[in-house]
Amino acid sequence: MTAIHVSVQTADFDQGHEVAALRQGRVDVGAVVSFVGIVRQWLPDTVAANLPDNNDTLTLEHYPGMTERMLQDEAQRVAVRFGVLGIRLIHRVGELPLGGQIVLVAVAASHRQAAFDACNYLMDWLKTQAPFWKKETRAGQGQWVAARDADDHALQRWQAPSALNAVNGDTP
Amino acid sequence: MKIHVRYFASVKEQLGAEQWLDANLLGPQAPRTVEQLRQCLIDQSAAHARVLEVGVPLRAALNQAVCDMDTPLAFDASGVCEVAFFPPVTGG
Repeated sequence: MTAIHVSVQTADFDQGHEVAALRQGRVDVGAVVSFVGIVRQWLPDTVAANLPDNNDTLTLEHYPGMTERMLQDEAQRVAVRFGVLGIRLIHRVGELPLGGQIVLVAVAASHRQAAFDACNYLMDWLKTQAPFWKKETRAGQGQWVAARDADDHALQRWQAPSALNAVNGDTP
Repeated sequence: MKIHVRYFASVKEQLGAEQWLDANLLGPQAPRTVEQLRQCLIDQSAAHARVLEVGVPLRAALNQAVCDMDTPLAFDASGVCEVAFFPPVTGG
């Protein structure tokens, strides 16, 4: 039985708490992989260092209702495809400061490869399929982030037969 | 038969969060697919044309499920169909 937790929220999260929640009360978990995405300074260091203020923010918008359902459905599919024991997926929305946490994907499995693959795949999926949009704001001037082809390519590699073979292999 | 049109992100900034179309009032001109709805909206104003025109990266969802532009509109029991237009996603 896979334990799935999905949340779209403005509140921050605690990675340690989420990892502990995946393992709590069960002894079949042999591996946990977790990923946290963070708001980084999007300007080059040399430019950012010469700017007087540090009030840059990243604002995340989403499609309430559709987002939560898509995340829940995809987590269910991932649990079956990769054979993992638990998934916790948290995506924040609203205005976030530099250094703020944006997203957490944590996966528990019996063996490491399934946990690595499921976590990696879920991030590629989130980047390209989930209805979230990022806007960078500096000194009151906002600019929507453009989608990147590289993210689409990252998702496509999971559709290759070789990737399917790799995730179906039983790696200790 | 009402169509609830919703916009997100950069599209919302330019066209507002939502608008309603009464499909009955449109008669034979009523859109039957997401693409026909897009064309119908483009005819509404210069701003709509600029934001929704062909060539601009645009995605759509029908009744809160991501869809292709040629998807037929589908109305629920209360006669409402929700269609959203938005730019390619950038979350994660």
